[in-house]
Amino acid sequence: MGSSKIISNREIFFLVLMIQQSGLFWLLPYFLVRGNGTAGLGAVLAGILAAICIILIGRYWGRHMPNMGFVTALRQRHAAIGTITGLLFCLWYLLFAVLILYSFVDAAQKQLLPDTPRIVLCAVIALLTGWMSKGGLEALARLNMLCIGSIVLMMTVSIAGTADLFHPEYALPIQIQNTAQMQEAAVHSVFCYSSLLSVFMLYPASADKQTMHKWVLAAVGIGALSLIVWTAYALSVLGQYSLQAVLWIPIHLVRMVEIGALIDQTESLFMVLWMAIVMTIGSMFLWCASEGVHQLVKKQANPYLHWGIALLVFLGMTAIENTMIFLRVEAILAKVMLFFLPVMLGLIAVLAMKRRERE
Amino acid sequence: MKKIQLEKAKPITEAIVPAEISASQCASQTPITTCLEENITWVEQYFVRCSDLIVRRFCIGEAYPCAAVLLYLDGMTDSAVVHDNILSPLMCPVCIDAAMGQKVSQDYFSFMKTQLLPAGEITSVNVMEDGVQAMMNGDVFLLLDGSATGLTIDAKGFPHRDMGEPRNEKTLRGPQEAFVEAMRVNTAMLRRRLHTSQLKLEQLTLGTYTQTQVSIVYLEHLANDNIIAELRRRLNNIKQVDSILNASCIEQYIEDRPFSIFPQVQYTERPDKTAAALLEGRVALIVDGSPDVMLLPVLFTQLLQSPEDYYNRIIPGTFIRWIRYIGLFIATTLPSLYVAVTSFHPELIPLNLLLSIAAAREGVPFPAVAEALIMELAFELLREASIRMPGAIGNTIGIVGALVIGDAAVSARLVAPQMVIVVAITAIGSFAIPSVEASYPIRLIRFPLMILAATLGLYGVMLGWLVILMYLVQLRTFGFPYLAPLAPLKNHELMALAVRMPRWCMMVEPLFHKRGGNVPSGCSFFHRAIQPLKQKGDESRGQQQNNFKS
Amino acid sequence: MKFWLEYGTWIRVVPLLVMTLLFCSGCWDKKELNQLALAQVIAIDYKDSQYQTALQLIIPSADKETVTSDNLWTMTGTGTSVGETMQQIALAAPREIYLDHLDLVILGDGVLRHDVGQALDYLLKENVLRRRTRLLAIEGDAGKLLSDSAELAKMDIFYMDNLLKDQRRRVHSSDAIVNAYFLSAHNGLAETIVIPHLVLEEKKELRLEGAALVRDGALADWVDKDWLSGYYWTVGGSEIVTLPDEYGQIVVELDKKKCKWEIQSEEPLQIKATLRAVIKIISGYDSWRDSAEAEKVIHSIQTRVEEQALEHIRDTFQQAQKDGTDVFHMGRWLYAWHPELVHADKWPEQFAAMPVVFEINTSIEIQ
Repeated sequence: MGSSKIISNREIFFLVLMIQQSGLFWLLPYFLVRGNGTAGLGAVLAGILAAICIILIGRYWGRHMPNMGFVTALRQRHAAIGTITGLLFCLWYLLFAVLILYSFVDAAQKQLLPDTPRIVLCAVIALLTGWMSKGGLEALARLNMLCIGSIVLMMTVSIAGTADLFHPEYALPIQIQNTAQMQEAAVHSVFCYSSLLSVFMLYPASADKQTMHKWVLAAVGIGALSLIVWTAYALSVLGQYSLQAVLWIPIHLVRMVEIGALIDQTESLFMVLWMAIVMTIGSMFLWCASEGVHQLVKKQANPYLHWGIALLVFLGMTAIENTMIFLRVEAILAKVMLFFLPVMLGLIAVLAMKRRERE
Repeated sequence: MKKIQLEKAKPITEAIVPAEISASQCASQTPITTCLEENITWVEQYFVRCSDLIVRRFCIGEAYPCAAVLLYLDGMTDSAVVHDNILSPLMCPVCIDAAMGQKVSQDYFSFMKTQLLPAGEITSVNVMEDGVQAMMNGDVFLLLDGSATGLTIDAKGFPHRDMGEPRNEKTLRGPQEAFVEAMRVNTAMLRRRLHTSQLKLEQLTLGTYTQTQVSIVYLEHLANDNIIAELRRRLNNIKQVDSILNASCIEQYIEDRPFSIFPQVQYTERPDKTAAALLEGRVALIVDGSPDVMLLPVLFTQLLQSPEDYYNRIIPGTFIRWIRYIGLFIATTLPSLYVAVTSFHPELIPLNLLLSIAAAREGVPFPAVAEALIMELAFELLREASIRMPGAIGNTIGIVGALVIGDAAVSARLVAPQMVIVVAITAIGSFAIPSVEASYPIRLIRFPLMILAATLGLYGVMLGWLVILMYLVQLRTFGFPYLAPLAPLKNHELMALAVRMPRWCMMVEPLFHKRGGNVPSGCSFFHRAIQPLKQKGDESRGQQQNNFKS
Repeated sequence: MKFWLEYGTWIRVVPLLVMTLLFCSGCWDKKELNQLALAQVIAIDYKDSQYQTALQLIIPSADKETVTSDNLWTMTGTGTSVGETMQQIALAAPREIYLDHLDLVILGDGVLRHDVGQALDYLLKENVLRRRTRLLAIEGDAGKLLSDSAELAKMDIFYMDNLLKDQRRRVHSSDAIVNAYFLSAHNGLAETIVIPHLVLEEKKELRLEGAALVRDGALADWVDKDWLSGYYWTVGGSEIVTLPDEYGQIVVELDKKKCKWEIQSEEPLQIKATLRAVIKIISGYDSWRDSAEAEKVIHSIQTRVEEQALEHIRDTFQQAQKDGTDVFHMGRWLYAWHPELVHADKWPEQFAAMPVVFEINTSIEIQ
């Protein structure tokens, strides 16, 4: 693992914003609107609540173990359960990395390079992600700040280029259609926001741990707002029925961008810009996984271990054969995460409190 | 009173081949003896087979004559100074006899230094090595019979180039002075601009053979002490290297990543630019014998700036700066974009243009990437060839090259005309980069980007850029992040990057003031706490075998 | 030795990476421009349970600076689906067919009556349909249009483009955009789109006249230009109108704004539509400009235009109601703001019986 120096809270802010957008931007609008129409936007609340819980838990950990890695702290609290929980977290980060990168590979292959074998794309992405995450958190945070402009540019041009297709009545009426599907949308919302579990790994690296949670909350707020605005806009342009039939909504929207006679058919350019963001976030999750594993085995910056984890990411990406399997895996993971992780964390907290009382 | 008889020099009847001074003898300190002949013999042995050694024996005083010798190297000293300011007063018997005692004593030297010799700099030395070193610097070495002390007298007169115009950093407005090879002339030019005692010039000598004088120049209250200390440490590591012929020799020893294509120090031949860099808190390294002054640390964005930005008005300066950024983008990415778009993403091209390109490419046997590589390589060859050609032939090369590469290649359907335009615009973009050392990485990274574009289209171009950016965010120069103020993001400096700020907005201070301390306002970006500076492996670069035979 | 220890890893890894990249990649998606045939126009017909597709291709050549009839190839294919026909064409074509610059899709009568969605499904899946792709309808065989039209056969490649741009100046063609069809936010209601009608007169002249109304993927009716004129009062557009008047021939340009719908009463349901337009007098007014009757002339023009507009829109609306084609997307509007008033199952009947009151506001500009 590369050196993980201290990073400023501003860098954490932008990192968290991008982490949020990576999953939300691509996947969540589809799940929110499917079966729920415009009312699905309310399911975002479930995810925001989950995010706040994560941030507060992270704040607790950060304050009580300020200079200790998160997995190291878990193991210190309780050796056996802490190790298992730490391992689960590492798996979680790994799976998230696989999902984010796979979703990009899938979208990129359909849009940019339809004839290129998937394994080539996966190999290239896995290699680059592995190398980027090896550079360390500080380098990732800085690269992220360089790339943040591209998401703003993408959103701005998407909106500017499709403004003439904007019909507010497409997004109305706001009515709950089906409670069961709303629950499913809420589960997916929580899943997408669970990417913020990476703040547990970021806490030790924060330069100002006392105020870090404020920056993270601000990032979550802005991210949630932008998601709602983006989904509402997509609804107003594409309509509910189209949105339910389309998986990769940003691509669909971007395909409709037309500004004058020159800016047209620009989805390739947008995909390429988006790639920068996906690579940064994928590297971020890979870094979390690698850092966690290093803390589990108590090693410092072992390149073989790191590249072994990158290899796992590559194998994970190639193992998913198509998007339907990917969605099924994602649905299962959402339910696992909702149940398992809070239980483990709660158990550790209880056991740690009991041990403190005994002492 | 004892009369000291000068012994006449013995005629040389046979060739005397004195033993060479060994390396160990050079490293040691040989004290000056009271026997003049021994001292002269030592110097002759030191400079054996050096025909420019001048040994001028003479006698000081008439009443109490004292044998003396003036040793210097022909060509390194100013003859007029030697004759008029040194020999003439010393050989005047009236002056000497009036103040002479019987014996050579310290008062004797004191008299010479303070009243007799009108030279600017006179130093007493007690070891022969100091004296011969001074001779090699262009001074004159004076020895007296019966004295274990010698004098080195400033009489430098070695030839050097006159100050001229900058060749590589031309500007339309602003000073047109450039540094020369003589270090003292260069330091004088800086002194002219910075009339402050804060301007420090620390001198050290590097290179066993070359004994090159190197000056570390900085402004005391603005420069970062850590940088200066680290620079001293890195320079001390390389004291034993054989030779330092140019500033770029030092660069390879002291920079953080010598194999990186991106420069981690900046060179300039302009005193105004150096003064501005010192005022930013940077450090300058002036090397004797090199007209290029090294400025460090350097950020990538500084390599894209020119003094002319600041001599122009704000809006034109900003406009020119943005032209340069566009030039940078074009120089690095245009050929790869062309290859990617025409080979992988023709839907991005409007139909009119696409038809024009397609029609032009009919009959061209090579794929777009091959065309691009051929044209770019040919252009690089042309550029390299024209650098070394004398003026008239250089112009001809340009015309011939344009004809061969441009017109004939297109007529022969070897390349498409659009490719010629792309290459030409790329070249113009690279010429817009003001810094010579920044132009090399820009020219180099084009090629892998073209290959990636040919392999994976725009996806490949973005991959390449991600690799480059990731590399650059990790690169540090003397502890400073190379891509600052872009990464890490610094608001004020970023603003200054985008817009050529008015002078009253240029300096920032808050970061230092947060830590407290007495700092004048207008503190610089470089006067900040930085990450650890020491880089792995930098000591080994300085450890070089000495080539003297023992 | 130290050198190899420090840098040996990079020296081993970097060339390996480079070689892996090069060998792994075969430039699978590379398209050489001189191996492409650019498709500009596609015409789809449906006859005897078979699709017939005609594709107009541009094959650039080096010795011609502009595209002429020598560069244009028309290739046809027949099959049970459009995909099959395209496969046939691809096999016969001299170069790889490139569809990303497809500008025009012409649907024949047969396709319109059968299923527009199914016909365009192949193009949708290939991601070649874009906002600027124009959809046109033709009575009769669309494929024959490409072969029979002398003008089309030798046209400058941008002829069609210019034709449609010129037409667009007079007739708003937003509904000819394919996306409006496929991405319309229908809410289970009978959505209808308007596809401009392309007419080839005596195999010589191409023009747009009237439109085809397509409801739920099939043709509901052909309408004429007067109907369109009324329709564009509700969606916006501009039109040049000549008014023979007692004051002479006056030519005006009507800049029609999108109308505003509002509910006048809920029980019974009554809707009011407010039409707005700017009347720009182009010619015929100069002689009256400085006269005492100038105001009278202006009033007369305004009255004539408003009467004509109301007449057109009422005819248009009645025709739409009779055909059951909700071209005005009123169902969508009602459902968005007043969902309780819309019964999705019974919407066509509801629409047919819905009374709408039209009101018009105009302003005059003299140029």
